[in-house]
Amino acid sequence: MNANAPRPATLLCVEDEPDIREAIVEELVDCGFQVIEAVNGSEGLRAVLERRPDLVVCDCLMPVMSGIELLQTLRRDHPDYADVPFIFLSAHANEAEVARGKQTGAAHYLTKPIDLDLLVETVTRTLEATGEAKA
Amino acid sequence: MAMAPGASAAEIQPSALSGKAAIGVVTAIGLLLTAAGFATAARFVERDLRDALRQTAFERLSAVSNGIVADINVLYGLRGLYAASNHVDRDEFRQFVQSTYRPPNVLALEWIPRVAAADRRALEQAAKDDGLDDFQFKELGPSGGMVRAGERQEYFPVYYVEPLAPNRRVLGFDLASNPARLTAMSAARDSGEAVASDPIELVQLARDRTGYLLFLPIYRNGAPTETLQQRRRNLEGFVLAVVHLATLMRDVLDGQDGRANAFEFEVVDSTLPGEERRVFGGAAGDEAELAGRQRDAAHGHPHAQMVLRSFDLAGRRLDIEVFQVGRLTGLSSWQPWFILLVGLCLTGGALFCARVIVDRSRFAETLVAERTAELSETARRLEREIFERGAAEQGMRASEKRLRDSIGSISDGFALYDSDDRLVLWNARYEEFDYRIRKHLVPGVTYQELTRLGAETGQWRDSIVSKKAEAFEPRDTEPRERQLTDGRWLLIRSHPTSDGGLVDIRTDITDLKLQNEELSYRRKGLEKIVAARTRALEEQAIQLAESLEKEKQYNALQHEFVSMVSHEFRTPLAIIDSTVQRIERRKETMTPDDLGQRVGKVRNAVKRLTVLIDDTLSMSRLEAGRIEIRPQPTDLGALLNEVRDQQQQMTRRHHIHMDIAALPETFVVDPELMRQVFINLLSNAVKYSPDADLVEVTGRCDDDGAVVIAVRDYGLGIPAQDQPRLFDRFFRATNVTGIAGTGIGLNLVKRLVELHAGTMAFDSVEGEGTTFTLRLPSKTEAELVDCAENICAAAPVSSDGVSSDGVSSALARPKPAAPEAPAAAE
Repeated sequence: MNANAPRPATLLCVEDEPDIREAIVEELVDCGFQVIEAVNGSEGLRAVLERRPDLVVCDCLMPVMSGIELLQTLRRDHPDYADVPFIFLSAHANEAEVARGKQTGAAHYLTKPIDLDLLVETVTRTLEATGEAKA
Repeated sequence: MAMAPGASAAEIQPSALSGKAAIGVVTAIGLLLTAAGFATAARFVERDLRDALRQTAFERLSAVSNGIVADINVLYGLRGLYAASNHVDRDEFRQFVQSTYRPPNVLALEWIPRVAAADRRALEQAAKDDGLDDFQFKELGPSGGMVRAGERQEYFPVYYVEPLAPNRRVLGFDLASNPARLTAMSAARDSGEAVASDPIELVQLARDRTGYLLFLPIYRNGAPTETLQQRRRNLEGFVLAVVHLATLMRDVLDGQDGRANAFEFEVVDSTLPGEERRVFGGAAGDEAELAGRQRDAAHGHPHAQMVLRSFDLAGRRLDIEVFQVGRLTGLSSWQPWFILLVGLCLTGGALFCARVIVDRSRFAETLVAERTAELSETARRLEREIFERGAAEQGMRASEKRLRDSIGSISDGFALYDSDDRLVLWNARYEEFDYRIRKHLVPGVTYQELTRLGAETGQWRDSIVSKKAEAFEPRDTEPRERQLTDGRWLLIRSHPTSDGGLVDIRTDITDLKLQNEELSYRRKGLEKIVAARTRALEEQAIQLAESLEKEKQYNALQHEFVSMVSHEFRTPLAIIDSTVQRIERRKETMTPDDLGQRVGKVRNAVKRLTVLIDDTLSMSRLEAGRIEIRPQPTDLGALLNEVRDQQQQMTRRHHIHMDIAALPETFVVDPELMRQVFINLLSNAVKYSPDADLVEVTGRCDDDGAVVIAVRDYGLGIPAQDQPRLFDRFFRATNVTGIAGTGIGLNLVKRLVELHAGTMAFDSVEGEGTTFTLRLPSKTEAELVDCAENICAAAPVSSDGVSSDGVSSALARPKPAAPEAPAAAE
């Protein structure tokens, strides 16, 4: 899938549950992406600012700083990074939560348990859409 | 002097007028209301009567409708008979008709065969063979009698007729000889359905002869009848019902007894041309009269049309109009008259009351006016007397006598003082008011002296006045009110006279005073009631607001709980799911170590789910009061280590340090419930210290045998304002946003510990960490079971569950100190 791309896309995975984070990272690496990890929102924010990933896969409910707060802070304080797309993962399946996630400006909102195929497909599509938008 | 009566008359006049006007208004309103009530009641009664009448008309017309349906049905019954056999002979026809219900308005049921000219003789002979000796095909002759039918290609004679006796005259009547009947038969033959003839004069009857013939065609059995030609070719004959209109309509007029609110009806056959339409009716009439009735109906005239209904009689449209005869009037009922009577009585009563009120007020006004006039007249007369005294020395005695008489006659206390404030004259009333110093009332005594004496003898109730006699400044011309010791109130007015003297007038105003007092007393009472009500309402409002706030908070908590439970279940499921998906992908290349590690993750997630399910179940059992305790001697240290190992597997950051060597070897608890307590405490300690890496567990044994176990973390801590509610169900501290949890764990822990007769306490500083301490007293198995039963019985299901007495009592205790020496040891 990244055969056409000159360099592998860099993804950031922010997730506090180590077991889930490892599974996601492993899957994304297997698919040819370069992946960096963070365990909560505030580490995630630092990683976004330092590495400027092409896309962020982010859990919602995390200690210290939640995923939604991370995205809100980024959008508010760092307009330069407005084009970094977010895919939210959350075990909250109710509609109000999904609406809140989308409202914050996330490109997609996936619920846990995660279908890894769906995750990879969503990541790929989002990257393509962002690439087209940039071109 | 001449002015006074005039003035009082002028004052009385308007009130007399307004009194008359009030009585007039009361009378007018009373009569108007009575009249309106009377008219309304009459109209309601009238409407009820009309509704009842209309209802009756509807019911009667329904009977007509049923009659028509029955008429058609009996014909189709006959058609069934013909369909069932190839040949129906005269006996079969009779038996069938006799066994079938024949509506009363059907005078006869007949069989009309189609007879070719060639078969005429044979059929006539066959009828004679059936015992009808004079049978022949007949037609109406010019004289109106029946004559032998002329020669025709086809005959449609009345061949069978039931019942026979009253209808014998029509037997053999060739219906084809009559145009009206022939038209109806042709229409029935062509349509294949029942067809009614035009209204005809029935030959069977002498009067009220109007009726209809209902023809139903019978075709040869098995022959096709789809096309017009087939139906014309295969016609075998007709079954015929003779419908008598007067009998059909009898039901409508049934029960009419000439009452004023009766009705009459008219049957209009709308399929006929205008002048022949009225085929039947309660009264004779022509088109002009009919039109007149419709006009009447529009104007609500007594001949008002009430119901118009249309019926279909085998293809004919019969409109039956029912008219109301005579005028419906509600005056025949007792209600309006009763209302009239009551209204008149009430008006009379109101009139009487109004008169009494007007008279009273007029009387009071007159009295005031008279008194005013009296007083002013007296004052003027006095002035004049005094003024004239010097000039008319001789007339003085007479004057004085007149004066005495006149002041003696006034109803107020009156005294005259000269320019040196010496008493000159006074009246009996004045004396009566100053009864305590009566003997001092002599000409020449000064006003000040009288005042002093009055104070000394306690003339006035007001002690200040009594003590300060000098407060009575005689020249004080302001009116003042004083109360006598016997309770009466006086209005004291002093008027200077033109020669420098003083007139002292004292009026008894006790009644007025009492009225005022009562008024103000009542007003105070009312104010008190209003104030009390206001207070009660305010309290209620506050209570309502408080309970509403509580309800809101609890609802928010519960909502949060449901959301968190869903999250808590989904997280381990997500671990299991994603790990298994990874195993699936790598199953070919995976090393046994790798596989083992991943299976371990799955099993840890399953353990998390199990704990969650156990907590939720225990909570619901506790709520239902159905939890059972199974105490047994347990190695608490081993149990703690087991839980520690399990929790340690799930965290890589934290080290759980154990210092529990001081625990006794065995201690009586329910090991499964206690495991739940430990799991919750340890997992909380890990969960709520995301930035710390140490959790400490200590255990020791007190002198009284009680066991004290403390779990300490260096994490978030609990904000002071959240501490009182920490053990409440669903409650979560305000600083744990972002950390998943349901809010039931600590509530469960506390209640499980209490089930063991133990106590829970905690000590926390926000940002520094928390120590939870549990203390379990040493008990036997039986004691523990008893204790748990008492708790289950004493704390039944609490629907709100926000707070229980147990929780508040635990928190009311002094805060425990360090975990090593908890103050919880009571």
